[in-house]
Amino acid sequence: MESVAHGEILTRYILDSNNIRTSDSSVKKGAFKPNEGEISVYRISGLTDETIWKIGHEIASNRNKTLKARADFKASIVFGNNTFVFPKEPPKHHAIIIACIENYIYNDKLAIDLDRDAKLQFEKK
Amino acid sequence: MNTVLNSYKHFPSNDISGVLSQDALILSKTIEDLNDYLRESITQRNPKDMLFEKIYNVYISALYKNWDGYGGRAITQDTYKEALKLASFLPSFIQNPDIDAESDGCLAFEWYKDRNNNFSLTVYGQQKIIFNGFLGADVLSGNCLLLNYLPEEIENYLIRLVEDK
Repeated sequence: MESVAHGEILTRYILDSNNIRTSDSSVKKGAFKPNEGEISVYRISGLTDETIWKIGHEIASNRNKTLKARADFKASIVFGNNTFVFPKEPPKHHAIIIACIENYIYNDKLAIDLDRDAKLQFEKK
Repeated sequence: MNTVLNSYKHFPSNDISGVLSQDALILSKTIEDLNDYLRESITQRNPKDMLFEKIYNVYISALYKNWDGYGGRAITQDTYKEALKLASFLPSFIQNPDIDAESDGCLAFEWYKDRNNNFSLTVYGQQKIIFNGFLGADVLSGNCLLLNYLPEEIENYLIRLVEDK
């Protein structure tokens, strides 16, 4: 598995509409909060839009949720916060951002930086 | 809320103290007090009450693990209490923030004008407030103890957020 490059685009699938600001359809920092020290993301550089949405629907379905949107961001934002993102397959294209367990202050700042960079995408029906 | 009100309607209005056990009487009195409180809240809703209610609703929505589909931590009672405490300190010049539960068990207060004018406060049950935000070119980030008043630093940021055009 190739390591994640700085220039890669990653996405976080949004399963909870509370993570979307209605005022300007941007993503909230809550979308980038870790679970047990990890933030689950997908590597989407080079994938077609159709494939990216398909992965998202599979994830949502596995969690009995509906896919609301996805938030695309640059891997360089992660590395810029002295954090790492590692491939973690299966599933294919999956990666994890390593956050700090119990370091709420650090994780909040990381989430803010990711949400500021992220571009929220909605599926075209 | 309506469920409580409706269930109370089924209690007879006449004196029932002679036929109920002490526990039932206590329960009856508790429901009566709650009923009074709810009626009062409905008729005299001020922004602060609405904020408390919003916090309660978010807390309830994230009471159990995996509430968000990403294995999210449940919001603890300590975090909920801290959020109520913080809300009680917020000055009246600022409108109510959005309240969100987050996957790591935090409760976040967010004021968002646009990408470059926003501010958030986060509590997580350890008697601290994390603040982050952007006021024009200024990047705000830090934390402070949750005491019995709103820290001056945070109040000043809220003033700036309101004043910034």
